[in-house]
Amino acid sequence: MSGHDSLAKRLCQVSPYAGCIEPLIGLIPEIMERNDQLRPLWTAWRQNATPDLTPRQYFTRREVKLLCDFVEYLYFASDAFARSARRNR
Amino acid sequence: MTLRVKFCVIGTGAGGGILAYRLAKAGADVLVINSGGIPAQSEFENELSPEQKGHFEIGPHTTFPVRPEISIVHSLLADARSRSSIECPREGGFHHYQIHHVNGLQNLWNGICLRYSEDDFANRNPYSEDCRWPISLGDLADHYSEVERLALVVGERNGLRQFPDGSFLSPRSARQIDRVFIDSNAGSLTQKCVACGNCGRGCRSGSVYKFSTHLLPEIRALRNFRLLEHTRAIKLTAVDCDNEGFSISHVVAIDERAARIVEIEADVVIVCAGAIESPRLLLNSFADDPSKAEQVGEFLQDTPHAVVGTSFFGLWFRPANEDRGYGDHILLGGQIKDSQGKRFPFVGQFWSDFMKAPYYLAEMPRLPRFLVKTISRQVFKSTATLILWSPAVPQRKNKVVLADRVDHFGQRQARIDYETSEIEADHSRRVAALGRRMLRKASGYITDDVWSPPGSGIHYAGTCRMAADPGGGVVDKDLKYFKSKNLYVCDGSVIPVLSEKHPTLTIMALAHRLAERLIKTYI
Repeated sequence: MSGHDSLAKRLCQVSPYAGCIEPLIGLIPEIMERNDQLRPLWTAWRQNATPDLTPRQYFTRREVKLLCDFVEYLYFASDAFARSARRNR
Repeated sequence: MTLRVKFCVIGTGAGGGILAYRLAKAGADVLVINSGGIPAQSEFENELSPEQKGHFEIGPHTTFPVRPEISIVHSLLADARSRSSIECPREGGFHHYQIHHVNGLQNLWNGICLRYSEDDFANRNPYSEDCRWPISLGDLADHYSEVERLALVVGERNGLRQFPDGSFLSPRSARQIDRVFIDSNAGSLTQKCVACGNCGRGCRSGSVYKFSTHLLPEIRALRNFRLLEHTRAIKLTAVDCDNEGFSISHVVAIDERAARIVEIEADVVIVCAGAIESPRLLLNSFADDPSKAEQVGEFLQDTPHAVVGTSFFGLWFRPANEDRGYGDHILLGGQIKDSQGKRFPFVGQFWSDFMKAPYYLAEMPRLPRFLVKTISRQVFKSTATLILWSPAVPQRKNKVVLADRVDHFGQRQARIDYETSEIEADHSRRVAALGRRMLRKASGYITDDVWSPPGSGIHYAGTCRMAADPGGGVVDKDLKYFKSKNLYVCDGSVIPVLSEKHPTLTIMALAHRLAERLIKTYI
C-alpha cells in the first residue's frame, strides 16, 4: 500500500462504512484531489497527518460529516453494493 | 500549409456528419475538420458502473451530501479550465457541456429521434415572435425520412399529430418496469419506442447513431473525402464583394498534433460547430467589422425541462430484473395548461435503470445502518425517472458574446448571458407536477425533483437562427449566411425556436436538405 493509500485508509476510518470500501482506497486520493469540496481536506490531511492523529481529532465536526457523506456515497455507488442489491430481494 | 477544397465542413456533430456523408457520397471534394479525434469505440459499447469509470460520478463541482442534480461527468467533456471555449460559468449560471471529439454533442445524445410537427413549423409558440420558422414540415419531410434511414430510427407509426410518423424500424417490446408504469397510467400515455437512451454512459448495443460509427466508415476511404482530426478552426477570413456581401476566402485552423497553422481555401464553407462554438467562431472572425456578425449569438435557447425520480414500491422485495437501463421505451406527450390557463405541449421520456449513484442518501432519515442498506438495495433496483420537456421561450438577451479572456489557442472565449424566463420556469413546474402524479400512480409514493441547471438540457439552439429575411435572423431558409455568398451554418444554432421535442433529428434533416441544395448548385 502506498503512502497516499494508507493516508486515505486512515482518513476513511471516520465512517462506519470504512471497512466496506477498502478495495476502493487506491481511487480515493485522485477523486478527492479532483473535487473542489474534498480537495482542501485531502491536502490538509496529507500535509499534517501524524501517525497518532485521527481524522476525528484533526477535522472539525462539519468536515467529519462531509467525509462521512463521501465514504457512505462511495460504498453505495460501488460494484460490491450493486452486486449485493442485485442478489438480494 | 494550405489546402484547396470545394467544401470545407467545420464540425462533425448532427449537422456536420450528415453533410460530410452526403457530399462525399455525391463525389464532392470535401474536407472536414474537427477539433478533436475519434472517441474510442468503448465509449459506445460499454456501460460502465461508477466504480469502473473510476470517478464514481464525482466531478469537480459535486457537493456532499450529493443531491439529485443533472450533472454529467464524462470522459469526453472538455476540461472547463484549459480547453473550454467559454468562460467558467458562475454558480448557477449556464453550463455548456462541450465536447471536442468527433460526433460532438452526439456523444452525449440519448437517441430520442422525433420529427418536429406541423404545429412546430407553423410558429404556434405564442412566445417566439422574433424567432420564426421560414420553412414547413413539408420542406423537410423527405429529408427526415432519409436521415431516419441513415440513423436507423426505431419507432411506431401511431398517426399522432404531435409526433409525426417516419421511416422507422420496429421497436422492442416493453419490459417489466415499463409495464408497471404503462399499466398504472393507461390512457394517458403515448407508447413509442426509440432506439436507445442514455448513451452518454455507453451503449450496450452500439446502436445509437454516431457519425464516427455509422457513416464515417462508409466514406473514409473515398479519395474525395478528408477528415482532419485535432484541427481547430480559429478564424474565417472574409473578402468583401461588391453586391453579394462578403466571401470567405480562407478558413484558418490549428493542427494541434503537428503544431502548425492550416489554411483552407474552399469554394463553400459550412460551419457546423454547434450553437455555442459556431457563433463564437463567427464573432471572433468578424471582430474587426461587427456589422458582418449582426444578430449572431442572440436568442440562445436550451429546451426547458424538469426531471422527477422515484422508487416504485411495487418492485420492492422482488427479484431484480436485469432487463433495465437500455432505452427510453416509453414516450409520453400532450398538452397541459400553464398558470395563466394557456395550453402548451410537452414531451416526457420514462427512463429506468439500476440506480448508479446513490442520490437518495441525502433524503434518507437517520436510520440504523442495516436499515439504510436494506432500503438502499430496494431503491437501487426500483428507480425510475421522468424527464419532461417543454418549448423554449426565445429571449434576445440570452446570448453568446465574446469574453475578454482567451482560450488555449489564443482565441477569445465566449461568455454566456442566460436567464431562465418565468414562463419557462412555470412550464417546468407544471410538467414536474404532472410527472410526480404519474409516478405516484405507479407506486412511486416518494418523488424527488432533480435539479436541472441552465444548459443541462444540452439542446443548444437559436444563435444563428434561420429567417425569411435578414432582419429576422442570421441565415436564410437554405442556411446561407445572409451577408455572405459562400458561407453556410448548419447545426442547432439555425433552429429559430426549440419545440418541446429533441432537436437532433431536425438538425440532421436540415443538414441533409442543405447537402442536396449544395450538390445541385455546385456539382
